[in-house]
Amino acid sequence: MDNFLLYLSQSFVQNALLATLLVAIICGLISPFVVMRKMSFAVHGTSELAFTGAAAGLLIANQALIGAFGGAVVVAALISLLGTNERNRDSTIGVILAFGLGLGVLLLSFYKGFATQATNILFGNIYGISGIQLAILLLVGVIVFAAILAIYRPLLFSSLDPEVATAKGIPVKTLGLAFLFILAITVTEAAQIVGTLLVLSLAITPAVAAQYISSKPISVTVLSVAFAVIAGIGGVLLSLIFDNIKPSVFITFISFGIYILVRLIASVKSASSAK
Amino acid sequence: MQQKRIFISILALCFMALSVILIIIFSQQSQSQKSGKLSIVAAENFWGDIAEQLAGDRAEVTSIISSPSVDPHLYESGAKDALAVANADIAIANGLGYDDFMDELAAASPNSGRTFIKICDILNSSTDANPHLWYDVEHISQVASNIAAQLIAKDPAGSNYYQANLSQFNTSLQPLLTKIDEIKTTYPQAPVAYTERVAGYLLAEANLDVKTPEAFAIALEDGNEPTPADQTTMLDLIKNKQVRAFIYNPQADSQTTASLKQEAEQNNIPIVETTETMPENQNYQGWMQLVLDSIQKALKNTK
Repeated sequence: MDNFLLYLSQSFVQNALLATLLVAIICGLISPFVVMRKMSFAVHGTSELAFTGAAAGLLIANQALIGAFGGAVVVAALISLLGTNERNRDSTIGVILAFGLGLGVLLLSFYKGFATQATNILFGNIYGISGIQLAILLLVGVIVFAAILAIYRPLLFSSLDPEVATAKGIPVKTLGLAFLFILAITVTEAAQIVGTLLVLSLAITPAVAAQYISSKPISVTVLSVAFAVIAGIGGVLLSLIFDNIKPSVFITFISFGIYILVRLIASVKSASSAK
Repeated sequence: MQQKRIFISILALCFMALSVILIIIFSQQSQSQKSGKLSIVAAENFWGDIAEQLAGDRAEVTSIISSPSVDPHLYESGAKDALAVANADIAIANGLGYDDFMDELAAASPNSGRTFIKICDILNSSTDANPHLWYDVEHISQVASNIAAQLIAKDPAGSNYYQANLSQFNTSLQPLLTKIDEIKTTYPQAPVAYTERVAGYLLAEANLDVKTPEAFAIALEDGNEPTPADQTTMLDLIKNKQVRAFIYNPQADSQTTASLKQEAEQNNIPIVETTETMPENQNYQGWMQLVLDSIQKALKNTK
């Protein structure tokens, strides 16, 4: 416990907590839409493809972060261009993912230096977040937050029932496109800082768990943010108490734990209501 | 109704937890612990070992990557390592992309009292140089005097002590340099093959001729696949017994390297193991001595 308080006084821990909080809030916010629109594979695809963007960025400007950012936009554009409807979207992402990773390997072979910046993306480095990175994350977070809030109602409607939404004159396609870009940017930025593994467990699992508790869209969103925050902050704090274990382990475990717990509660409930 | 209650209580819990965390964080003053000793943190155990030999009992040395079974390329920082970097008087990193996490950890904990030593800066390496600088035995004394100078700057009272340790360290390098000379004159331009550039500097200093295509070694280091042309070149080198030693890194074992190693064994080409990190129970000089001995032995037994 002595050590725990010492840790909390360190700037690297404070940066880690704030960054995790931000990432968890944004991921928790987009998570219900990811689940509703069946876009889990898009999250996986874009976060893995951050590697290719990072490799390109390294090669062109020696800047992995900027490359990953540009790569996200390209990937989102490609998915929307080639994956014309929901049925063939997953297979399209699979095609882009395979080609993109191959391209990343090619780009990396042109890069003469030691390429850990590009290959580090799988785990990220929560305790290595600088003030500048935190500021970038904050900026992206505010933009994504505002964008989601601005299109929340029509996006929700078009995600739940695209046909009726189209009939009512809501621009379903444009909203879908906008969400794809928001998703790609969120996922890539988060992957750069906290790693691909964590993005998956913060952007998919929370809303899946939340759906077992409530069917109201607003409460699913709030619960999903809450679950993501509990997993993220809880994971970082646990890794300070048990400081031999890496934070991403705890974050993925708590996220999965919440999911299991919620499913257990749901099955007990449905069993008792069936009687 | 019940759902709403569960929902509100979860939310309330969440925010309570958050506010407790924030209160704790901001009520803490940043405090640095000071024991009498200097605290030094090195990214890898070989740099840590050299620092320890120079600083002796006037410093506490922590090495972040020390297990030979860990691949330094796949590393995520734990809180302990980050704390060590945050509170260090001297931090030592290899540089050249080998340990970018050190730059990240240092940037996450700005500390004007900390000296950050990058070995690649001491050796003036170009940015695309082979990053395995610790195998550059002929230039290690340059690294040592630089670290000693930083120790003296941080702890002037120990100046004589550090100077004595430095000259002792330099003396202990002599047998290594003699051995390099021996190999250089006995087996000039002897052809060898390696899977990664790990021992590259040492092999160049011993005047050995590395036959491996450079792109092959770099691809393996980056965790990529070498091109078929390069793989064929490597296989031919071994099958036609054009090399007198097969030098390989057991820490980054892959199918490609394992099958090449097997091929070398079948063709009676001696295997020389060069690990990336220092084995436990060894110091830097002992480790390099072992590597040089096994290279010499391999060349002695082949033509």
